[in-house]
Amino acid sequence: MKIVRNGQAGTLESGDVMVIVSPRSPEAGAQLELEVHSIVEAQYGEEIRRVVRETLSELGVVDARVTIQDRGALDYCIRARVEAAAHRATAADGEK
Amino acid sequence: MEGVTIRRASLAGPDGRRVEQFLHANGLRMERGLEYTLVAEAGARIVATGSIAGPVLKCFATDEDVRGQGVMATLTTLLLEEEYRRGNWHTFVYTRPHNLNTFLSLGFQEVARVDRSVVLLESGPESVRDFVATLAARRTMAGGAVAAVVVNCNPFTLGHQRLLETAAGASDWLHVFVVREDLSAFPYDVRRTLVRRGTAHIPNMTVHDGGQYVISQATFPSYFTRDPAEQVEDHAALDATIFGRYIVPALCITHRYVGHEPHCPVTSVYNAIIRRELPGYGVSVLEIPRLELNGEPISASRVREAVRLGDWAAAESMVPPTTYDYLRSAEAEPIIERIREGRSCQ
Amino acid sequence: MRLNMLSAAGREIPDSIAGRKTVAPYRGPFASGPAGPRAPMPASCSRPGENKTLANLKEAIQAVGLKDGMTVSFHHHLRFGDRVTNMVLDTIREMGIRDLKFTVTGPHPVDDLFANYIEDGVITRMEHGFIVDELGPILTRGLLREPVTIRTHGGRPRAIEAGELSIDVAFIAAPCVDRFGNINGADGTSRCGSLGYAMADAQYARRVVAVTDSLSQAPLTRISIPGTQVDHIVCVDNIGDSSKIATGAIRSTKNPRDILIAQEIAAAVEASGLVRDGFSFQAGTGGVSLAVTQLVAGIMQREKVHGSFLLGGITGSTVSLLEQGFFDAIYDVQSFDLDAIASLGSNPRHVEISASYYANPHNKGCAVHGLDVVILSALEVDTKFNVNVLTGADGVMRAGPGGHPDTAAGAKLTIIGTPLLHGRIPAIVDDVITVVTPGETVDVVATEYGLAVNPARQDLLQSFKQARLPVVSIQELKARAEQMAGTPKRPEFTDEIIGVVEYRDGTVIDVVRQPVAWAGR
Repeated sequence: MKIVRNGQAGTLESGDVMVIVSPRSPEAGAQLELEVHSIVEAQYGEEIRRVVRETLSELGVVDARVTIQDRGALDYCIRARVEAAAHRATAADGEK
Repeated sequence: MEGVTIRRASLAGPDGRRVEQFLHANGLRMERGLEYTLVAEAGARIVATGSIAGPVLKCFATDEDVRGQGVMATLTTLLLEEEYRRGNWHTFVYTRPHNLNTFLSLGFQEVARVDRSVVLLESGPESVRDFVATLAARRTMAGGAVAAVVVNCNPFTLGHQRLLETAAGASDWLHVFVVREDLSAFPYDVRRTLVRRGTAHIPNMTVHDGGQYVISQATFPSYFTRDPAEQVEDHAALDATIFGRYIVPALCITHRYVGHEPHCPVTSVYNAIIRRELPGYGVSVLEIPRLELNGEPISASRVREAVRLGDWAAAESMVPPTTYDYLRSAEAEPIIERIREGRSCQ
Repeated sequence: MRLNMLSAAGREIPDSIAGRKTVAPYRGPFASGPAGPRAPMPASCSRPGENKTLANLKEAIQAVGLKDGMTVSFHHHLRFGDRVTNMVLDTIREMGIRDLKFTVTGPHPVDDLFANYIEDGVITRMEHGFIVDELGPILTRGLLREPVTIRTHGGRPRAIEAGELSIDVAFIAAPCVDRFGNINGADGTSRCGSLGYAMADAQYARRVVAVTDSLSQAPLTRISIPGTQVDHIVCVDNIGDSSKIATGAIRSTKNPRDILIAQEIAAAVEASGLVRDGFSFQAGTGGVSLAVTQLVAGIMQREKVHGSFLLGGITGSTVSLLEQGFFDAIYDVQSFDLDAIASLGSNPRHVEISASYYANPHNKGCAVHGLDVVILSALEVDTKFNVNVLTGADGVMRAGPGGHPDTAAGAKLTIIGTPLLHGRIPAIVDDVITVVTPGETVDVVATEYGLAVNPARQDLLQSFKQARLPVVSIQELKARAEQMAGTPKRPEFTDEIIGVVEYRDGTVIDVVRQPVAWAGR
């Protein structure tokens, strides 16, 4: 899945997560850049990163910048938001 | 959030007055240039509000009664969604320091803070770290006299040229930041090109994009409204803090040059704050007298006035040939047209 | 080399702690009695025609002889509207007095002012009832010379009466004062209702200064703190911001999860068989508690039960139960909203009580010991039913005991209502970060996934099962929380002690250590 524009999903409500999936500059080589800001960083920071990477990997996203503003979302919610944002960031998805 | 509804308020209508009163009651004033405002209401009573100006979320206020109910989270989400619709993915929050924790907990990152008056936060795919990394990659030297000048150049005049020649002449290297924000008569690309052309003879100089962090809507909105009634000091202090905290170390800057400003109150406040704040970051501030013509300092606004009046001789006497050639080119026609019609704010 | 002792709650307690004469580990809710007689109360004399009123705070501070190293006390009845604490501390700072011990029943800091007093050396030690807002991070940075002592609402007057907390000067924000120094909280523009937490301070402090914005020309007919205890009166423009002293009516929750928890709790209260004539009850001011109160009133109505007294922090919703005749009386140690303040001032059945009468275990009888049921909340509960209401998941102090351990120890039935997760953080864990209320005083934990009963209460377990309540084990709740949220990483701590958690009897039940992430900040 190729990321060609910014895609966003989620909210800043308690228990939700705001995700932005963005393209990276092409010269730097394919890479996933994760920017995670979470109210539960100390308790779940690693787990959140693991779930985001796993979800992107399942979607076949290998080159993207992913910005996460997490408000204590559970794993299933994080997965859903990342997936929705990634789809909105691909060419296949119609203009919103 | 129970019983609270959020909707868009049109500031031109009766809502404008209500929002203003609510902000007043919370010790804030309605800032200029708000493009989109939301109000949260419980019944007929406003309990929270927040607005957008460019990529900046600001004019936030919440009633004590609804704190901790997630009203701010919903309001901020809706404002961000509006920003994304407008294509602004790198967003800022400009607010009072007592709201810092609220926005940190919403996942924003602190950029800079002026004690007891204002804090700037950001979110999105880019951040001040990227800006600093871009600058640091263009660092030419660490050690020696490294000067910086911030210019808008609307358009580039002989006065600007003299300022940059003076600064470069006294330094090992000069970094020039051109204000990025497109709120001036001459668009950024043109202003930057004219700076380049007018300084081609200066060998030890780099021109940088001022980006979001040097006199932008986020750091210094009153620079563009030129309204002395706005919190110019807070804005200037925020801008100076960002310069000192991020830009100075990225480029190892030792000196900052500013042009003396006898007339514009906003710029003279800015210069005073720069002089007050930057020494704390190890930077000496030097104020250079303006180049004068007929006993009056040359300024971009005088050039624009000459252009407006069609007095090309006067314009030519105040700008370098590189700027004059541009002003008379076909490319400049739409801009000249706008200045003549007075449709440009400055 | 410090030796570690073990409190009966299973916590390691060092045998010496800076600023404490003795360290006695907690041994059980009623294992430790008073060590000796009460501390002496100060003696004074007065002469006919004396005028207690002084021109300003500076004069009063000079008159009481405040010096470096002394202890000053304040109360928190004006809550976030309080201006007196900052006013007094600012004057003290201007006068150059330093190194004070600062004790408030429950400090409500405004902005980051407390940090400034600490950084300036005005305040070097603290003893409080709970910790709110910015104060937690400030204390966690370890800026005080000695660890903060955290006391319960009953433990504080006990410590004052025992002479463990010896107050040099009590500054009492006084909503209404007459020229004799008689004080009440029910009148005046900055009225706050009950002054219960200030009473022990007024009785035992060496000197007492009443700070008021309402000096009554007529002698007060309602007296909370008598002029016999007040040395000086200072009038200021404004002791508080009335919009922040008392909120409007606190609305009951519409959150379905909270309502579900409240329904379970109400059913448990009914199944316990305690709802009978003479029933006494305390619930907090949170959404779940307010909903439970309404549901319990419904049970009383249906079963035609007439209650005895309502206790604790009082709101309009408790007042309406009194007015509807469900209960004979309200015992009010703190009035939370405008309705409660108005009722305290007008209804003779709405009675103002001192913190000592409310919850002090070392007198001849306190109100919590007469409680049938108390409903409480928690930051976290562990599988031993120990409750933490002090430290957050990051180890930073963010709340405090208040009357939690007092009521839990006193009531026949103590129910902790909590959602299974606070955000993503599990509320049920193997070991709480800080034990504030010991598990042996907690009977039931109610979540939206069922009720867990303390195994020591087999009687309750049987009643709940008979009533077909959704009973689960505490281990099941813990496993379910982790299954949903994942196992959180717990904070690591240095050896640096930043807080001492006193049980209500003065023993140390736990200590708060500095999280590694905060060391050197």
